[in-house]
Amino acid sequence: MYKNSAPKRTGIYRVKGDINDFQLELKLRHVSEWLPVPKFEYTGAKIEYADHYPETASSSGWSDCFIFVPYEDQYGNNYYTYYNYYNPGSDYPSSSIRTTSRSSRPTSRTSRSNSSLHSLRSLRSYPSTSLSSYPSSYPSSYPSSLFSNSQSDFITYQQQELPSDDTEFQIQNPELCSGATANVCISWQQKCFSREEVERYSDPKSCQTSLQRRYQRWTRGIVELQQRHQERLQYVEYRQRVRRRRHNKSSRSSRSKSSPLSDLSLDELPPLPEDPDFATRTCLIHTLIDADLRELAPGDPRLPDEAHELLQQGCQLMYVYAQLQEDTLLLSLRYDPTMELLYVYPDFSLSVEDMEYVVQINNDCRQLYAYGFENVTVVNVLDQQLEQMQAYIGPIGPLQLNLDPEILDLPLVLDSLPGSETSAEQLVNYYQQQRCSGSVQRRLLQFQQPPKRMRRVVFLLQLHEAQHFEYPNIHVRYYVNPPAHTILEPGNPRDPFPLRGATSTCVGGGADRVALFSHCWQLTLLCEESYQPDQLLHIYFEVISIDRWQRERCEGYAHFACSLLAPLPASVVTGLRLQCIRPMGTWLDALNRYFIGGRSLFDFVGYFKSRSCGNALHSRMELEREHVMRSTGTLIFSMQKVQQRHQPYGYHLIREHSDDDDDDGQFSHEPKATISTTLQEVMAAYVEARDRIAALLGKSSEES
Amino acid sequence: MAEVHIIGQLLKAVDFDEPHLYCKWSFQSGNTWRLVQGEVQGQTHVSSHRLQNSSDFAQPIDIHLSTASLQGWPRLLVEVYAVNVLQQCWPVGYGFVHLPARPGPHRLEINTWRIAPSTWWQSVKEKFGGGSPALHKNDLLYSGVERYKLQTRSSGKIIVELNLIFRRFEEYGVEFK
Repeated sequence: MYKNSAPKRTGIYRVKGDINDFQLELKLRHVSEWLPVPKFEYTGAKIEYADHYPETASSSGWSDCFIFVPYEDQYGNNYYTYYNYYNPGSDYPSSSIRTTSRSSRPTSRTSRSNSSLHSLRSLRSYPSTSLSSYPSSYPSSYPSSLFSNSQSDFITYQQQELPSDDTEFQIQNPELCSGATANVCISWQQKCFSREEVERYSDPKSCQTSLQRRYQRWTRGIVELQQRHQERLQYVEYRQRVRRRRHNKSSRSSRSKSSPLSDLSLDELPPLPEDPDFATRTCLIHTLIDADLRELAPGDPRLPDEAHELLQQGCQLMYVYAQLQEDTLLLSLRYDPTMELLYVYPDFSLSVEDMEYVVQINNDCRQLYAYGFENVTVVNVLDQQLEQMQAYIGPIGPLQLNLDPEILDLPLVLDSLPGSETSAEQLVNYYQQQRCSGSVQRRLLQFQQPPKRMRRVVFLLQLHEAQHFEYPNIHVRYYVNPPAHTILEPGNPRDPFPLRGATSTCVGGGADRVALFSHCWQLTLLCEESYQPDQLLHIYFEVISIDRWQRERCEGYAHFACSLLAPLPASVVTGLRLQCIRPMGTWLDALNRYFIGGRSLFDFVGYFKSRSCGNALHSRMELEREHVMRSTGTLIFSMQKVQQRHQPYGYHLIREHSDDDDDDGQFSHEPKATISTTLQEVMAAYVEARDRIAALLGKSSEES
Repeated sequence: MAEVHIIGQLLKAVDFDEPHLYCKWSFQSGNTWRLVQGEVQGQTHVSSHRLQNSSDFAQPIDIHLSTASLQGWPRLLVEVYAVNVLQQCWPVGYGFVHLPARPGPHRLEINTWRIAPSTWWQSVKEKFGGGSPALHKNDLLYSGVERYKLQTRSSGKIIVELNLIFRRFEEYGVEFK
């Protein structure tokens, strides 16, 4: 079967999101081995033969029939050769080209029988399997032998002269040669090793650079995989040998009773253990990635022609090869980070199952391999309605909408660019559409970063319960006073007072019975990196009771302050008990509070501020009676804090590769480029590093 | 996109007066939070207790969330309902808790409250198992404007055990401290 390859063209895609999420699935299989079909040519009557010679098979009427075998050399010249039908060793006397072609290509002799011998070669991994024991029912995609049984000597003759490299390929890839499909899933810049690389990196002494050392660690897994497979094959072979020996013993003793089919059933090979991942083990598919290319010298033969220039331009490259009879480039990928374009040559198949691309290797006979690859990064189709809905979602989150997360969570979108035949209006509409969808995508895919040289601090506050106040039916009002030079990021833009609020009123709770509030709120602030630690976030609580006549009474005030950037104490995270206080007042105030109620005007913010900032000492003996306080009930309050520094966007794309300990900056040139180095940032980084070292030293001294 | 795995269970309800309870739970979060896998809301079976004032639920929770922002940190809302012999049910507890901002195992105690009866008849009805008032709109659970006008009464507690796994937060410069 001959299959035409699909036309190859370069696919250009715009990448939205993380290119490291890109994945493709590749399938490769052996289609057929094209053997030139022999044709018989009658050369006429052999008048030179004398009549008295006895007529033999070779000298009968078939002796003047020759097999016509055309072939093509490496320069594209067409040759042909005639072989005698009964005696292939003797050729057509008039075929003058034959001798030249066979001497120039020593493996050409074997081309005549490669098709019939492929199935034999595929069994070379079983050393004990003889030629005659090869079952006809063994699954194989190869065409049956073109020669009849009477030419078994010819087959044997050809088998003895099999080229070593071709046989080696059959031994190394028995699954592929027996018709199995190699299936691999390759991520962006994923390294797949070739056999030479596995051999090269197997010796730790030859690995000098960190990349080579990393490869040396990674190739251990492949070597172990190959060893396990070899052990499994040896075990199968051993079982078969034992079984045959037992059968021979039993057949000698009861030869007359044995059925004629017993030999056939015995000689059948056990089925090969299915290994869907054989491409990894056999190193059939291997890749040349950006890190490899950067290590290669410009004149290295392994470096593709255009790779050096493209690397100079800042592109990321990736080449996928198949290690067939010769190393074959299947596809090349190029990513331009500045334009966010991905070039794929040849373009993606519509379906990986189609395997529409054909690789033709012109060896002694023509080997045809089919392959296909498909972008398996989830996405590609964003429903227009969904986009519009996302654009107008507003404050309603996807959790409430219950949208399909598979559609929403699009890590990577590859958009096909319009073709050259599109009109200007279509182009304008296309790019306008792209911009609209891009804003939605950016909002969904990019993590919200604080502005440069700023920090985002998120406080998760919760008021749990209150108790031991004088009157029940209490509720708590809170007031947040953020420090200077901070910016509030309101979670709900419609909230007119984001810095203050109140809990619900707990009927009957707060005095003898505990008042459970379970009130949560979130506060998000932006502050400068060089934040002064003496500037604190203040939260003031005011506990108020309301009786059945709707009379309000102040039950107490509490205050909590914390630093924006310093770690919180563990007690604050689990739950801090705040002691509330209120002005003691005079006996007249007490009577007024009991009979009339109402709240007297008291500047509790100023009171707490003077206590914390002015170091003012308040006692019961001082003259200003409004500053004489008495303790009332308690509040249980907890707080959690999350901080976010400004991280240059794109840094994480590269840092995923540098998770190894001995990574000495293989990929670090790009993050370094993205980090802007103003003087203030250098100073901020220095201060932060010093803080961290101080924290580390403090911890170590505590431990010691 | 940073990711959060929430794995745990809604363990039990304690200190509730009613003997037959079940619990509805849901995670509330901001616009930038998205559900990747799992269920963000659920409902337990009806658990009855007689001797100990504790209803065991052991409702598993396994959620995978992703987020593009710290705004709208998830909160767990629990609503406890009581069931009587006539198969009538009414809410006996509402409670909120923030998802802990540190990875690892956490045991959360969610204090709950219920709507206080505003009339004498409602008090009698509640006392004799005829049900208690419920919120007409669930928006009142979240709104903080003049919230003190909402009359509540302390109820029991819900015990929740959660194991949290945070992923890729450090790549965006997020620190939990």
